[in-house]
Amino acid sequence: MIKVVDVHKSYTKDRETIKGVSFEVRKGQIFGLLGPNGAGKTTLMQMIATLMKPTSGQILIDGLSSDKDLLEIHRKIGFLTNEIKLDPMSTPNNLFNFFAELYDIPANELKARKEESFARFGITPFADKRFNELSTGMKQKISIAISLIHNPPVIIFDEPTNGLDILTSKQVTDYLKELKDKGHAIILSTHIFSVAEELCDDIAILVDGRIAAQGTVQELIKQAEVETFEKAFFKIYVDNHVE
Amino acid sequence: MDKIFVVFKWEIQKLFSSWRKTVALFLLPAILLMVALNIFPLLINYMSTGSINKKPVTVVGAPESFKTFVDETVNARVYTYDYMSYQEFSKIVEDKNSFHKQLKKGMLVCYFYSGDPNIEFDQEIRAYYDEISHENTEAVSRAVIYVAFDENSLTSQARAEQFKQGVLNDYQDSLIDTLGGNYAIVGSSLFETDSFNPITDFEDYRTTANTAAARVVPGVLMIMMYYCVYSLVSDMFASERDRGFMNKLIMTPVSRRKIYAGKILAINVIVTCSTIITMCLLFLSSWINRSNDAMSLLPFGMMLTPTELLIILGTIPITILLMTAMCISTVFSLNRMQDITVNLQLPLIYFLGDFFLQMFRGSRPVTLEYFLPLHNSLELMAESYLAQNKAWHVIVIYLLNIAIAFLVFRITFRKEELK
Amino acid sequence: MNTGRGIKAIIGSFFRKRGQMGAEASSAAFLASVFFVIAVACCAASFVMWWFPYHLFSDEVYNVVVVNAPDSFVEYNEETQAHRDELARSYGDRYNYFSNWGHMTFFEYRYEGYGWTEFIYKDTDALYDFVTFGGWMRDNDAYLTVVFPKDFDEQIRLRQEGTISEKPQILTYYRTNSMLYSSFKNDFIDEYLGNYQSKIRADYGLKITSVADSEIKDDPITTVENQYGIKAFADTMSRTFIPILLFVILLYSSMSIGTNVIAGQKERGTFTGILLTPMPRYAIVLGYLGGVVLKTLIPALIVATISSLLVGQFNPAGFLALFLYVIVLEIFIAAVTIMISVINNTVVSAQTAFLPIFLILVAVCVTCIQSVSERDDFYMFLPVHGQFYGIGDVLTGNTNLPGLIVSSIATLLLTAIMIVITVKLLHSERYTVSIDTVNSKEIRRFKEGGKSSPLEILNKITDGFSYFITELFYPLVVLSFYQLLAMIPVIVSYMRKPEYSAFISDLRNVGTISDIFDKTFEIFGIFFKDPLFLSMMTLGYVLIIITYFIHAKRVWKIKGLKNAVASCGFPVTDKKHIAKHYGLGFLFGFLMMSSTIAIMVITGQIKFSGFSLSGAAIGTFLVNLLMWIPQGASEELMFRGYMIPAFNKRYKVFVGVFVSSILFSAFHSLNAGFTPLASFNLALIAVLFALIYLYTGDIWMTSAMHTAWNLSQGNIYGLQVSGNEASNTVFSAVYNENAKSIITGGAFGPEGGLATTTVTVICLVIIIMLLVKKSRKASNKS
Repeated sequence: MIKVVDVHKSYTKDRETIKGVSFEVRKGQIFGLLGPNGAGKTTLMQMIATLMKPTSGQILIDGLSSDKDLLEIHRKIGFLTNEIKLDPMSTPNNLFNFFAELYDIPANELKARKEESFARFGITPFADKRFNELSTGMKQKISIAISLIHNPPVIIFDEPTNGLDILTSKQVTDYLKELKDKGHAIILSTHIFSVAEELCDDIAILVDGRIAAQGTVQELIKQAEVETFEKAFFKIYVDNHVE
Repeated sequence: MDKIFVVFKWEIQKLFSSWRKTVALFLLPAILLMVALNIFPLLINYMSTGSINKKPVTVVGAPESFKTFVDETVNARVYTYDYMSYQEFSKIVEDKNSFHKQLKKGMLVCYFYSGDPNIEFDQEIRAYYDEISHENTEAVSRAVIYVAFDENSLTSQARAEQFKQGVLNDYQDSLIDTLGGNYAIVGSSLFETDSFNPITDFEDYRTTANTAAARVVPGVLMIMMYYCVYSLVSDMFASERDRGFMNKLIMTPVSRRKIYAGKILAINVIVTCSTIITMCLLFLSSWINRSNDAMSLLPFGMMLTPTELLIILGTIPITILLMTAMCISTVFSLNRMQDITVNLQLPLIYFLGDFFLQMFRGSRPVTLEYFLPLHNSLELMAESYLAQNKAWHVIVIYLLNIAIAFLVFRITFRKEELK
Repeated sequence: MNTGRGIKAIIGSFFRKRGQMGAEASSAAFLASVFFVIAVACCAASFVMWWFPYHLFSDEVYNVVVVNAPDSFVEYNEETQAHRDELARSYGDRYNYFSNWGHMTFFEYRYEGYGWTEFIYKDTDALYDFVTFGGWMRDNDAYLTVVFPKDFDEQIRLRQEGTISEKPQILTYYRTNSMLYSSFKNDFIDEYLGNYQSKIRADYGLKITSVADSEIKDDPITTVENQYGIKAFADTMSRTFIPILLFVILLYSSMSIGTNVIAGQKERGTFTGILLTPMPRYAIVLGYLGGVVLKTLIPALIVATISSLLVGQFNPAGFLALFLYVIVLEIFIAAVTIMISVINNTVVSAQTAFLPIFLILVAVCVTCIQSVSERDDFYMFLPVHGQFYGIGDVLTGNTNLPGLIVSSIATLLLTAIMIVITVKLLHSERYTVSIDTVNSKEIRRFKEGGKSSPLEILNKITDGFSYFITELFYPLVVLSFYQLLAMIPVIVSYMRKPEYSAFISDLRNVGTISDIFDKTFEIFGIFFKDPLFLSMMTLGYVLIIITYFIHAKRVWKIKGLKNAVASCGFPVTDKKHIAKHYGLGFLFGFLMMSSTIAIMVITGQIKFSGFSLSGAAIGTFLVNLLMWIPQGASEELMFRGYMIPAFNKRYKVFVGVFVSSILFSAFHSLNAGFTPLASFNLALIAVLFALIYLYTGDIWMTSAMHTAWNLSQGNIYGLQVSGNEASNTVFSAVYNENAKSIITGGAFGPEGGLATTTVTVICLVIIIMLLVKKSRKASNKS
């Protein structure tokens, strides 16, 4: 579904943030993107989500390139970042309806989909509350619900469990697993090793704009010749990081 | 196309979801401006005279004819009078310093002089008419009415002029009927002009009011428009981008242009409404201003013909479009919120400067000014108030501003897409 | 010790910039700056090249339309023709101002001598028909219409002979498409018509054709010595431009720095960190204050120094005083910014809140400029004013030491108060949480009970008062707005009719209040016979009804227009019900009126002189009939259908009935021939209608009654409707000579008489009985 081929990105002339990254994500697969702060995870995610253009290289979503079929790609992508702050005066209901209209969801389908989605995350009782009255976790859940409003085959989640308590976190990870079983292709970036270990079928460790290692959790542990995934990550980082 | 309206509806709905925002946008600036416009002349009056009330006019040696005239004429009763004999007045003049001080505070002296201290003013005029009714063609009247005021104060000058126009000229015209004696029957003023003509009265009021309004209203509207556009652009573009919400919108299968167009449309509609409300309030402010002080910023009777009104109503959304373009280009070319706000506020100072420039300049614009974007909108509105609007100005200014706005949008959005 | 270090650290943070100093500039802002500079330059150029724009304004017209020109005026024009031709020749090209330099002034083109004027003669009887005059002016390139009365020469002659004393009146109308025409018109009246007057005098053989009985002279007194040259220029600049510049610099940079610190940090979420440090709150505020002050002072002091040197002020003591003024002013402004920053949660809202203060302070500066020479010493001691004048004084080389000291102390005191307030604000949580949370808290507290504070009681009272006022004034405003709107076309149409010219010009003699009343009713009498007025009024009433529906929908937050209409007393679902109620109402109204008339006939107050409706008036009668329908409906809607439920929502039923009835009576009491009995009767009728409304639950019936009452009274029996003279009636009724107005109501119509009282009281008794029965039934059921 997602194909990243030798992507480079530089914000300024003399410094490259992403230095040639390639990977592929198939249907029904969760692809984990791990890396320290500043490794270029967010940049890479945003490029996949077509919010930014790569300096060179190619990104194909379901065989489509963002140069030609931008809006078609948008229909296929669900994107979530943890940076989003919602307008404090708006309500989940209004926001959901607004995005439903933007995503061209037919009116007869809208109600059922909203009810289902709100019920899953327990938003229903808060549907008409203003955002400034809601908790952080609730806002994050609403953000997720809205990102997936159009049931996209490709899902790009930038640290979806960041700042959530364990219970909510669990809800989110369970949902991701369910989506994976339904055949969605998912890219996930996270800091939390347990989440990565539990969810990801394939993990790429990004260090200084390059993929330092890629494979399943077991493969990575084996490759680094250590016992745990956490230790593997540190070893790979130390080996590849240049001061 | 319908997606533009979805975004448009969303933004409008968002605005009205918080009454504080709504009030801040629609009423606060308008009311503040109205209060400011009404207090401003009061302040000037207060600063220059030390009191808010109007000073009475000091009348020295008032003849009977003047007193009866004041009693019988509505226009003359607009002023209050402080009657004084020649002796009392000379006592005041003796102390030059205190006399000057009083003049500085807005004292206006109306001094009746008959040419001879022993003859009264009325007597002199009666004598004059007596002479001419006895066929003495050489008769000369020495009667003079002096109006003394502080030469160094603009306020006093304007007030003296207003007093002469409003009261003394009419009084002088009435003298032949009241004091003409025999001559009045045969040779009095033969006819009256416009003693009852509501239409022309109305137009005369309009002339005064619109001349004053041309100095004040366009500048006020420009500041007001920019203020609204600026706060809306920072809310709808800068803050949303900062909060990451903009990315969320861009990720929908609606093209960026449509999203931006929806927002721009929302800004335009909101600010146009808000500006028109302000304009209505300014009209109201003019129509309830019956005092017509010399320094009144919006005198009674502001009026626009339908053409002029249409020109101004057309100028408003076009100007807002250009302002929006300018603000959006600033928002997209900078990254830090702090820089953006500083850059967005800077033009506000220019509009303030332009307002004062327009207020104190008396000259007509140079042709080049019709080609300076935004400044030309101000000039167009000003000349519409002055009924000097020319078709080619309207065409040039409308087309130029729209073209520049679209050019700026094009450049900005193209740059944004290349990122 | 610790506090001092904390303050220093905060101040230091202002000067540790990430990256480059200052803000980045956008190209748009840069271009705006460039355009502004060009605009200022153009403005300056327009003073130097004041003749320049005249080529743009060459389409003025110069002809004059003369209506009903008397022979003497035509003669006079012929006499002046030669002179005018000569003037025209000396002007040169009509469309080229440059050939005639002498006539250009700074602000306008002076047009003198009427060289280009041609006179166009027209005739009409309608002296106030400005619409036609406008057409004539447009067709003939004229800027002015001079309207003479038809027999002008005759009137002059009669007056000279002493037969009449009234002076004939000349009217002028000018075009609106250039402001210049206003002064053109005044010149024409003063000069051309003035000379025309002299000519008439000469024609009558008077040797002195223009009188000069007195003169008006200006006597300007110089109170301040005027100065010229560089020194004067420098003084003016240092009293006006430089202080304003300093003010703007201080305000602007304080705004951009000050609003960014606390509000900006709140927005970014870093402010909590600072609040959590063990520093006392006042130290935090002082730290930020110091930072803002120091950072803003850099550009301000540079500008102050440069401008001081430019205007030639080199005295070190002067510099000291100047700096002191600037520093004190900046501390004050910074304190304001910090306070606003504390109240607001985001940079944008903080800056938005600061803008009004910015504008107000600049306005204060401008008022100070206006009166530099006329100021009182007192202002030297005030904050803001003191600094403005002080800076000007210092730059012109005369420092006012007491002023400096007092104004600085006053300003610093004010600043100290503001800092205390800011610290208090920072202490109370109220301003660090959002307003909505506080509201819900307060609502909860309110719901849980507890004593209401005096403030709350006061709030309640003022709230109720404002509710009353809005409800009372709403009908007044709506009614007068639409009636005014309906009047405009009617008035214009009458100004165009020749037979009313004399009537209009007679209005100039209206002076006393009673005159005004009489004339107003006379005018309404005329209007009420005019189908145009009637149909405009009908339209007006329909619009009032629509306005009320929308108003009710909005105020009562009703969804769907149908429901809103129903809530105003017009349920529209059941057509049969409507027909029944409306028909019955019509019948009742007619019966009530008829019985009133019957009482009058029986007591011998009135007799009928027969049918008076002529064939031609039937059309107007029908229009009249059409008008009474929305008229009745709109008044019922205003005073019953809307007002009673509106008051019911807050007060007991009888309040609504009482208030609406009083108001109904008050509204009608403004009409002619009003007596206390009339207003009492109207109130009674209003109560009756209100009770009927309460009984039936809708106003279909009362609307019909209202319509039937007015129609039968005015157009069937031919009596006055609440003071308005009726016309187009079916019967014509005449009061007997010995009719007692206490029974008939006299000029006000039957509503002013005891006959109506009798009928209304009987009806009231019936409806009260019905209501009691209904409520008994209801209570039995429950």
